[in-house]
Amino acid sequence: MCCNDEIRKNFTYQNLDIDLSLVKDLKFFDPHIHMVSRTTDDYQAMADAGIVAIIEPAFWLGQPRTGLDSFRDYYSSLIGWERFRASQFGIKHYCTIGLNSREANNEPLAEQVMELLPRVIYKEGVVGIGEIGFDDQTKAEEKYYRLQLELAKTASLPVQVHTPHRDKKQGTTKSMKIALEHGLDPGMVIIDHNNEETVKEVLDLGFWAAFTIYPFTKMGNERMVEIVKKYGSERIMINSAADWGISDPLAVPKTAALMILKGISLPDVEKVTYRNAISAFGQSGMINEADFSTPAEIDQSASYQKNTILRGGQQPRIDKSSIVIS
Amino acid sequence: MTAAENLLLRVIQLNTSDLQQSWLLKKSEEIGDNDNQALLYQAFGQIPSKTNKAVIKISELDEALLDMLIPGLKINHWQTDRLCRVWFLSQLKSDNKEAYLSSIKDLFFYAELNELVSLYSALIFFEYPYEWVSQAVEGIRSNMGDVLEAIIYDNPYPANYLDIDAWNQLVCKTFFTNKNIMRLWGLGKRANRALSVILIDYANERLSAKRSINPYVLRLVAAFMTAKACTLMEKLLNGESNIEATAAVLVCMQTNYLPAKRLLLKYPAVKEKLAVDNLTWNNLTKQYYVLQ
Ligand SMILES: [Zn+2]
Repeated sequence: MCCNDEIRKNFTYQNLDIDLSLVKDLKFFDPHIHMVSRTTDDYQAMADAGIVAIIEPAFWLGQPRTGLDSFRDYYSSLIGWERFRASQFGIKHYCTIGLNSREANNEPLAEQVMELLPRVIYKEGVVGIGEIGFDDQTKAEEKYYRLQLELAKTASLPVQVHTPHRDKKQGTTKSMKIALEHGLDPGMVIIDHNNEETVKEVLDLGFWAAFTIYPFTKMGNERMVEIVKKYGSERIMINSAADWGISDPLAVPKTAALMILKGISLPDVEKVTYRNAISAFGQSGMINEADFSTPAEIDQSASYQKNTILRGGQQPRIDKSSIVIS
Repeated sequence: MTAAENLLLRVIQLNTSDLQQSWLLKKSEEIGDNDNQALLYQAFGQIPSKTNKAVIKISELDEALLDMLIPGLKINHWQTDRLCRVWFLSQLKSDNKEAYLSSIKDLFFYAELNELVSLYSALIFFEYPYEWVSQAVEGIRSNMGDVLEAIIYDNPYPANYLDIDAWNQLVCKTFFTNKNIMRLWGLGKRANRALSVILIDYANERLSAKRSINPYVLRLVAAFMTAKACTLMEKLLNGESNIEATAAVLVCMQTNYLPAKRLLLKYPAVKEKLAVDNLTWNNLTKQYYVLQ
């Protein structure tokens, strides 16, 4: 175990071939990332790049689950194991819980998952219902989307809405129309995976507009810079949605660096990469900024015993530039 | 309410507002009057948001009193929500054994990280204590550091109720995960030969790998010295680590095993240094952790 400040400083950025020095004093909040599919190296790199808190939405694991227990164990890992794993790197982990659109199409199972959700959504650190919404835009998807909107209303939780890849424009419009039909306050709904075509309507209707910086299939960050130039920073937030696909867990800090390079003001950058996510998901009452805005603390119990053991077992650094592994 | 539960409640009262206390007491009563699992898990889940998460303040007198009532239990590093949860759990009605066991097991089954910490911290307060052994063993298997710490640190349940295999596994896991062994209560009373055999092998592995050895590994061997253990001590006396050499001297001083006593005569310099520095197991082990 090491992790004293000297060592931390020496290792910071050394393994990154990108220049994040522009944003080295900023803190980031990535409100959409699937850490269950990522390695500890990613956590390390994220911590180095200034990511202090994340939200992991419940999603499709790449292969359908066929039994209720798989869902229960998955939710348990989001409120247990992943939370611990993140804490080892000084990152505060929150999650949103829901039945994703693809698996809503397995109706007998979806029924059971709906019964399970109330056991999970009131837990500490659950900051919303998500990610829910449309994929294929089937009848079953609509049914469970609506049921979960009602659940969010009952629980006074924000909603994180996944918008479809195919037929995105209409799918997004429909998602918002249904949320309004159910009487949700658009200020409690984060519409995710926006692009140039959807953003205006989302903002005009009073929803939060999230953008996913994801190579090839979603937004590139140069386009993102243009969007912030055009629409400003109100109710806009960016995320990586990094998962098992070719994606980038450093998308948020990289985009912040690019924004600064392209002349976007620091307060605007701070809003879209940190503050707005806290404002939106903080409406759950489950986010206490003090938990991650100050540097990781030494365990109370450790200082009481006058020794230096780190809380929960923060992870020691390994020197990746050396071929020696000790 | 037992005297210890009463004391916990008093500490809660000193660490919460009137509003927070009355909410907790009301929920506890409601659940006593109803056999309603939903009511139970909702209240249990809400405790952090309805009370607070500050680290508690407890007087030295209350700490001493608690240690008299439940030897080994220390709560001065707990947060208020954890204390409230543990007290809340201690008040669950237990006359219907089946219902009692199944409702607490259900809480474990659906628990998030902080809830798990509170549940494992409450083991010593649960009725039918031997019924919780398998749950405790499951917790020891956990790789979530916070869960492990809830079981290892200042928690008298393991030493009081675990069988020898589970206890030995817990001690080994404490060393493996580099948790503070000094906070595992009951090491002396649960020391056993089987454990010392495992620990000698473990120490030899560490030595071969050129990794440091926790002095407490050696301390737990002292009462069960063998020729193999003696060989290890001699290697440590000749080794590069001051801490390990000193620990080996302490072992040789504590044992009546003659070959070990003879080592002291063979390496008088280390023994003298020991007298000068007035080293004990605890401050030696503190030094060890500082260097990790
Ligand atoms: Zn996603």
